[in-house]
Amino acid sequence: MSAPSEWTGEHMRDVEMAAYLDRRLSGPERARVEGHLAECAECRLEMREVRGLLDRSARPRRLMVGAGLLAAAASLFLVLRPTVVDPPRGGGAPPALTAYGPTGEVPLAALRFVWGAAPGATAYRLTISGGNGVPVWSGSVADTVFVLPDSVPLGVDQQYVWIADALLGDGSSRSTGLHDFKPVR
Amino acid sequence: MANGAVPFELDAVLHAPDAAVREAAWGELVLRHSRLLLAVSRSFGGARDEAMDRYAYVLEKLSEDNHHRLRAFQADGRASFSTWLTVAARRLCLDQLRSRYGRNRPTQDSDRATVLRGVRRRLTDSLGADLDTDLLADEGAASADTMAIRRERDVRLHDALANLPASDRLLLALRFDDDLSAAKIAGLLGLPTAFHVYRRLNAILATLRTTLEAHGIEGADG
Repeated sequence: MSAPSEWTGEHMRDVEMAAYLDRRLSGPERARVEGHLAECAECRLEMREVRGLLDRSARPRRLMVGAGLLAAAASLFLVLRPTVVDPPRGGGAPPALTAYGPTGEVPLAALRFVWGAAPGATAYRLTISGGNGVPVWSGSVADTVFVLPDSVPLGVDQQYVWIADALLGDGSSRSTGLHDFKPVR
Repeated sequence: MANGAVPFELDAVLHAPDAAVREAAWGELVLRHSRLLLAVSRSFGGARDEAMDRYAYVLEKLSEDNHHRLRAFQADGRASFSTWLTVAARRLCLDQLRSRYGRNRPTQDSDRATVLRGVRRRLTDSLGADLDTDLLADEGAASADTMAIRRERDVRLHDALANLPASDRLLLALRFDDDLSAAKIAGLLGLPTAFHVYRRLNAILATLRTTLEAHGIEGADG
């Protein structure tokens, strides 16, 4: 068997490389990948370098990245991608939970309630009310993404309000504040 | 979806009901993973501006075409997001470098001869031979018989290597081709300690030695 000095076949796909490093491949998949790695110096180099990056990123956080560089990255990102978040109604202190949506007019078929995770949250409570304040649906959810069940129909072109609260382990809570939305066809 | 957990911020980007929500979710995802992305960008060296260029390039590519790279990750479902993001970001940085400076040939070729040489030397050491005759300066003086024996040995060793499990061949490549320490190899292959690497290496060499001896080849030089 002659070995190429440089692998000329197909290299590993990014998801394959990541799954191998995470030890999430099945036995046959793993054997196939290791057979390729045994022959391909380029993929082995990638494996080593990604492993090194992951190991360094898992270390306890010190200011390994200069504060200036991180600040520059954050400002670069904000210039390229301005963040749009609807302000909550009611004034007062800003909400501690980030609300992603829905806000404003939303296609009924794509209606999905999404908010940011709160570290240490044991559960979230989502409440959806009509424009008149009468609750339409309220319940505890474990995730930060929720789709209303079909048994809770919302009226098209009607105004609603939603709010999510995170219940933390120390008994405190954080909230998205109230957000308006209107399902449309 | 199999084993990979999809973080909520990725789910929010991919299933946002409208552009405004998608933008906000994308912002959250970037901020959560910026430390990792910056580390990848910086790992290619150069001045700070060059690292920021790579960082911006990675963000641009990850968001283009309705985040098709993120969707492909989600569709596969096996790896964790942070591991995949590290691989993807590194490849994008390489693409950017190659588009600017051309493809840099790897300094280490995957040369089976290197692995063979390394294995042969270890076999020689383990059998207590005083000399690896391949190191003799005047190889032109080797007799035809010696050359034929060496060719036979190499063919048998080649075949024996090819019959090893993929994991063993990978270990040999990491040890003799990439010249990695046992500790590094242990970390890459998920073995508990360097001792486990040495033990496995010895077992592989013992298997190869037995195979060679079964074909009448005693010692690495035949």
